[in-house]
Amino acid sequence: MRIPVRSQREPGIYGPNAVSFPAYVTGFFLVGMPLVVITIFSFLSRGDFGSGVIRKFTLEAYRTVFFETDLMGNSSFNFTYLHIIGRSVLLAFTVTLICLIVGIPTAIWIALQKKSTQRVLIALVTIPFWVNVLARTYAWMLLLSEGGLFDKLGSPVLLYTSWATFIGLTYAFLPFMVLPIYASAEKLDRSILEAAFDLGASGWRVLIRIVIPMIRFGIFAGIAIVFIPALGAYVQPALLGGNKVMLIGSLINDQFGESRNWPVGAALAVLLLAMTGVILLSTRRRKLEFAS
Amino acid sequence: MVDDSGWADLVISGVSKSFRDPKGAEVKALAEVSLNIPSGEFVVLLGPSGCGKTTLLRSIAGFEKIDAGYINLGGTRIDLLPPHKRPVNTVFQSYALFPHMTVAENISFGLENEKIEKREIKSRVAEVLELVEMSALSERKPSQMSGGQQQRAALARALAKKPKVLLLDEPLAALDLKLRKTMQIELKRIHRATGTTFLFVTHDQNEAMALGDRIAVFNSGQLVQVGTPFEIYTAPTTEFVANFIGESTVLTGSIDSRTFTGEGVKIQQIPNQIADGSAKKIIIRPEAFSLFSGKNSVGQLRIKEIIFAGDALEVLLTSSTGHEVRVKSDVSILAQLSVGNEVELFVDAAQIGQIN
Repeated sequence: MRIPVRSQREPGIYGPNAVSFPAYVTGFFLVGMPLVVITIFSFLSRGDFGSGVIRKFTLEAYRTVFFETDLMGNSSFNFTYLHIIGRSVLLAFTVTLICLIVGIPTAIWIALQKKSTQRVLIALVTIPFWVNVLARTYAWMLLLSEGGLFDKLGSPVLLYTSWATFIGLTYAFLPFMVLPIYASAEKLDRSILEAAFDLGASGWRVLIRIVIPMIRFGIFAGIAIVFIPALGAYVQPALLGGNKVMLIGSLINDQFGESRNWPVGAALAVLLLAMTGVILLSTRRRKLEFAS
Repeated sequence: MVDDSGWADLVISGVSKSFRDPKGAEVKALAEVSLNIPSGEFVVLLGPSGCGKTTLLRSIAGFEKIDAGYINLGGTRIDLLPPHKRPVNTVFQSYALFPHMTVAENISFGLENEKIEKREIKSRVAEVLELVEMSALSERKPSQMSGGQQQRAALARALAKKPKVLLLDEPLAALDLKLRKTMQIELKRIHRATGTTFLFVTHDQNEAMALGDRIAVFNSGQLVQVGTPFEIYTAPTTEFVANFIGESTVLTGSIDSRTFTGEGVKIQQIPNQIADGSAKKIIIRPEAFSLFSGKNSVGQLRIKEIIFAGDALEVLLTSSTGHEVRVKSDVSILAQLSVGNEVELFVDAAQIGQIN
């Protein structure tokens, strides 16, 4: 019944070997290297003609993010970027919350069906992945636009508002919430639920006291894989929100594009990475506390 | 806990339940089962897997809806209530302890569902933990305990609710033999200490005999016989019960002037309560036979197999027509037996029974 501890695994089987070589190569070139490059860029100077970087160490990029200098040369704290970050966090948080509220009951309901029904329902949940995210976002543009389905049904035209961004993100990330929660709910022993009812608990209490604590790892995983990409989302704010409201994803994009300030773009990317890192680590520590 | 006799009688009347198998065919899990269980009794539901005993238990707990009949507890009909409104509690085969809670939290969960004061909950938890001798482990999580300890925790959790009937679904099946024997004695002690009605499901006939005040034997959805372990063992009414509980030899033949003839054997001095006739079935327990010496000779039979069981010998004989006869004997004659030889078989005719 004890959960195996990682250190008890045999290094010969789970350590580096010929079979894991492709994984290391992929990890090094596609994950490690770009992160190192971005981090280095954030500490370099802006290129002479705007684009690119020149090899001169400076903290200017980070200073630009946090401080502004007026014409007289006085520095003061710059809230512009922090506002954008704060707005992005709020949006990602709301998207995650709605995905949780919809995703938890959906996942549990699927897990309680017959095995054959479960397979069909899970296939339905994953069907959106078969179509490219851009195509699906354009579909939402049609639905939300003037003369679109929602307009005809009497809803106000939501396209190019924050509501459209919010709807698009929630739609895109909901399956990522449902799948990990389903994966842990599916392992729930039915007799444990029966025991809870047998001991006099109402359905609501069984959900709050038994089911949710038992599927918490799935919920943590769902929160992490919804919140993090939602925080840096670019496609939905650009296409559905019409880039009217600046978010961190669009901001980084602009620094590498129109604003031609690669170091600032890199610094913002590093800050986003640091934020998600802190969030991930905090959920991991919560996991350990629960497990002990 | 429950003392007014009759107040908590469990009445199961004409209960039927059918399932559909994966092919869509109807399977009768319970066929008009009726059983009265007086308050405080320890009743064992015994039968092979798929006989309906667990379905009956789950119907009483409320996890299965019955198709026909009713279940009354203390004069109130309970079969229409949802599980959490029934004054019964279950000990599950898999224990079904909540893995994220300690033993004490598992027990108080059930009590928190009632309107009970925190202080009262604490004292009730301590009380049941003492009853099952688990006080020292109250802060352990289920994953930190052995199977036997989890078993006790599950028992404590159900008993803390002071149920009118405690339902036990093969609770000892996962334990090894030695631990199972210890827990059987523990269960009897706890049953006496609480005075609660125990309804215990098992497929193990030895466990049923060891535990039950009465045994209810099930086969293919039917209640075949109810009685004390002594009655079930000494006077089985069907061949199924005779073979399922203990070992026995069943012989089919005719009885004429107190002599049985059939299956290649002849037995004299058949007891008077077994009437004359043809196509009669008689049952003889292995210990009613003896080899080499006795009062009533059955004749010479060939030895097919000799099994040394430590405290006794089990000898399998074959009659002239090839019918098997099971004999339990003293180990002292082991040296005189060898497979393939013929040996004289005797029987104590008073122990011969009749089945339908």
